[in-house]
Amino acid sequence: MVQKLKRLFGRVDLRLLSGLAVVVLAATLILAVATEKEEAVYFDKAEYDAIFAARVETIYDLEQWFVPQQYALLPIVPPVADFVLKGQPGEPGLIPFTAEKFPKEFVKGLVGLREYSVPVYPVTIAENPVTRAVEFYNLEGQLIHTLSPATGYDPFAYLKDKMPALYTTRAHPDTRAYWERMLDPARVQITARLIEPDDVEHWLYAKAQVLAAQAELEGGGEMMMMLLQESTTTNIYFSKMAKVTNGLSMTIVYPAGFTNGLDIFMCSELVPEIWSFAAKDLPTGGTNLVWVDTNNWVQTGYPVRMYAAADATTDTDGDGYPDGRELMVYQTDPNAATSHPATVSGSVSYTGPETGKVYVVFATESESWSLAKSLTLTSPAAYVNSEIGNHQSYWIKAFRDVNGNLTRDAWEPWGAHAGNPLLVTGDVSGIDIAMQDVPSVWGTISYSGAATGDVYVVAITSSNSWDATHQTVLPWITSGGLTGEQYFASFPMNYSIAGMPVSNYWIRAFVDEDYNGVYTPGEPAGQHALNAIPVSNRVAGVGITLGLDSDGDGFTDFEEGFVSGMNPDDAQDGITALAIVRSKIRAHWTAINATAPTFSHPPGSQADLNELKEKLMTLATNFFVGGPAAP
Amino acid sequence: MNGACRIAMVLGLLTVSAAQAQTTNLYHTNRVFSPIVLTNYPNISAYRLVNMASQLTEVVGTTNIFINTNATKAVEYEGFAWGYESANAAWTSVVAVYQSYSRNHTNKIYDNAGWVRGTKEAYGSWGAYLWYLQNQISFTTSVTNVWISPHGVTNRILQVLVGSLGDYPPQTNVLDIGPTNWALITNYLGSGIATDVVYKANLDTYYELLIPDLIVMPPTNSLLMTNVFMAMSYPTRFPPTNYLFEVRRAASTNWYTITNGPSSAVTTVVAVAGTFNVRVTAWLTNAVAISTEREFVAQFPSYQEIIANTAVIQRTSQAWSNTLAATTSTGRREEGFWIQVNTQSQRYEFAATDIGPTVGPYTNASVRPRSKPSDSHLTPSPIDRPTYTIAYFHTHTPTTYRPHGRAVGPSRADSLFHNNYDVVGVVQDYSAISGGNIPSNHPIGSASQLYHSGPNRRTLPP
Repeated sequence: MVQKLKRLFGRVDLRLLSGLAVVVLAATLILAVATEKEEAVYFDKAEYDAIFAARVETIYDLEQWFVPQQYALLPIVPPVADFVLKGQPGEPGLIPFTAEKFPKEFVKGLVGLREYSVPVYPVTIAENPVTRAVEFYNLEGQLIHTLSPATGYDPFAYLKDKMPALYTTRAHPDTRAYWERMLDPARVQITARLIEPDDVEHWLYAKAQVLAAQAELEGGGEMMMMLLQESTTTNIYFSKMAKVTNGLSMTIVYPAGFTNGLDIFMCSELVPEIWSFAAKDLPTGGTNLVWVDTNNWVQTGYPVRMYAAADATTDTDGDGYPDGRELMVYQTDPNAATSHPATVSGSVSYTGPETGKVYVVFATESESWSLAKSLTLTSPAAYVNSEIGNHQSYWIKAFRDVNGNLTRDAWEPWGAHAGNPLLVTGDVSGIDIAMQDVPSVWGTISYSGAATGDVYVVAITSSNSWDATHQTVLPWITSGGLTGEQYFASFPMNYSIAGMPVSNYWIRAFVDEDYNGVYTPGEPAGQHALNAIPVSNRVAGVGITLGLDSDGDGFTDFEEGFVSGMNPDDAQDGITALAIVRSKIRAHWTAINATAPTFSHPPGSQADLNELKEKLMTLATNFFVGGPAAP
Repeated sequence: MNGACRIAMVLGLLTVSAAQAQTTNLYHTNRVFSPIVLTNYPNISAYRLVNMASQLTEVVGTTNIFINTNATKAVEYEGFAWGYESANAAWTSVVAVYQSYSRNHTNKIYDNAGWVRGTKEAYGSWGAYLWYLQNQISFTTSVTNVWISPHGVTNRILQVLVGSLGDYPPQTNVLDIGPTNWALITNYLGSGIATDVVYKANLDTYYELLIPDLIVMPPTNSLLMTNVFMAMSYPTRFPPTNYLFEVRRAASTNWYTITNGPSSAVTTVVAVAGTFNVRVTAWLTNAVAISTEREFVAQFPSYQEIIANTAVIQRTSQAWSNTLAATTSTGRREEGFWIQVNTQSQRYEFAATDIGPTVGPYTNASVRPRSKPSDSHLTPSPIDRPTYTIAYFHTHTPTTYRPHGRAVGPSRADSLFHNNYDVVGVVQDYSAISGGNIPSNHPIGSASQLYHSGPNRRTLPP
């Protein structure tokens, strides 16, 4: 959250003048409203005030409005990695905006609709999960404006604030990655309805009139929600579940006289609500049966599972597929004979070094990696999935679950069918998938100095760069604690960076002592090796020692090799550099004072450096520097 | 300074917003000076220290320029044009005539110099107006070419930095005219537009000093070792064109030239022992300054330095071999020689070998050194290349054929000799077996080593 606020505050100065204008204008409006108070009230004054309190003057105001809404909803986003909370209305939903102060292409791109006969412009605001830019979409889903993220913006600041332990060396990187997916602010999109300020009053008036008319029609009675309660004697239900030695025992109760077979389904992801077969066509008799789930997932699979049971015989459309299976597994229409499952087959190939189960994913959204309809292969091989509903487009892809966490991690090998999305109308074969390694680097950051700050690790393709495109940040403060005490990171720290293109990379890191989010010369830094390393798959053991001084001359290898052009393996250049500092102090000292300065500590020692610094501090008051006059 | 009156009708003619905040600009450069502010890092790193030092300037002050009041004035120009068919034509007319209508304000420097200009349409025709107030400041940059610090140190002024006006040599007469942003003043500004710009001169004056220094690396060194004298001149953006490196004995006032040329560094082999003062004089195009003196101590070589020399190693090894070869069951003898350092050839040299008398198993061996060779120069100048006698080497003899063992290493007599002659003593003898001794019948090929006797190095001459 701090990072997000930082992003916003960074723009305040640019809008100071317009902010003042808002104040003046708001004051004017308040006066106008106060004047009207004596007259007939046509609309809700409190609502009018609430709407104008959210008035936005610029695109940055709209971004400021968006951010708190985003973080307010983030904790309640369903814990499904691919789920994005879309179309959520903000509070207030109606926002007056000053069109002339917004970017031209933004205003030009707005698509309006009429509410209470007044034009309103819905805009969906989203954070791009890759670039972290804030994007604005119009009613038709077209991108009409983008705001770049502020320098140093950390999308996981909220997570770090809430779960700092994830960023300690004790936390497994996969665990951290999981939560970063869960609490990624990009999973929350907010829709604002922009309205011209002059139209607000009309909108409120019309709304008041409409509501009044509705109340009159409904007789002014209160609305009541009817709750339906199912009868357990006419339906199938689970009456008991118990863990047993070889699995999970469950008792399924059905109506007396029910003799059809019974299908049991399992679902581990409630949001897509796609079920898998747990058991098919169990024989029934009496009023219940006891079944033990011994499927593989009981021992090794999903920790949270839901079960359902359905009649395995009833087939309303007569297409040969029972209604329960069509609804639960195939996601086809049980009332249409032409809607039924099809068989999709192909093969998965992979030539890289990684091992682990291969999941073939059949997703109905391009970004989804839901395992709901997936197949599991022990290794790259041919596959056949006969549970794919037809008349539906699928993104068919595969990944190798190297760490066995049942989720695709950014660094795990994956591939997608070249023909995605594939509209499945009938059986189809040859849907081959070639999995490729994902470039990633893994290693440890070591440091024994006294500097503190977040540790930034970057993978760069240019030796003199700190480009943050491929970067990870390891926080220094890991927890605020329940009583306010702070816990700090300790070295060595593990890190990983994944998802960069195949290339040669220099891997370097620094301690951000001044917390400005970028490397400042003098901050402890280090680089993995002198030369770039090739990264085409998962490269482990990429260790970096910060502040390393190989030649012991007081200048770190990084400062010598990459900042000041000195030789990290030649102590003499450091001795010379400090001799020049001493010379400069002596020269300036004797230009002011009648006596020469004394240097009382061994050259290069910390005491010597501190003594030289003190003399510089003293000298600085005697000399001047030119610069621009203060505005 | 008093502000000049603006013509009131200007505001009536032109729509220059009275409510608009008016900023006073500096001409010719937006420059003010302030004390250097450095970040005080608690435990500073070497890199940050270097960066910190790089922020130190050679600019001192605040001082002032010396204004020639007779030649200093402000000039007020004004031009009108009206009745033109276009704004551009009216403006062109104003630019052509404004210099013809001026008024001098003698001995005045205004803080609200600048201009008011604009074009405006009235009754179907165009008019234009330009009012321009200009300072003409005549001054001398400094009375002398030196700045004396509050503690009485005299420094050479390299430049006089006059606030926003510019940088000038010391003791220079200047006539500065400003503001002179001609493009902003005379370029056509458009139709129906008016601008009002205020400028002033910042006359706060500072001196940029020329401060040379000399780095001696290392400040204490031994004969035949390499030494570097590195001239530093601040500010570094003005590299001197010539450097004169000089040296004198600390006890003398006679300076000797080491080098005189464009090179800022001199690498020398230490040749003369003693305590010296060195300095460098740096020449720029219009300035010259001499560094403070740096002490340099040239020592005679130490015991470790002597025995590390390859020629010494070769020669002493040969002497030890000779000693062993000369050992029989009935006789043995020592040998030795004086060690010299020739700073002209930059080599170690050795006087003729002294061979001790051959003695039997029951007699202690010895060698009588010949007379110590004199130094080539009794009182060398700092730039001579003398030869010095710095050490005496001799061997001890085996006990292979002796009936009793003995202590190894320098004897008391050895130490007395070396101390008396103020030379480093180098003795080759067997390595001790136990208690600093070797036994009788000690194998002749047993391990040997060099031992130190007497002073660590010859005493430094005055």
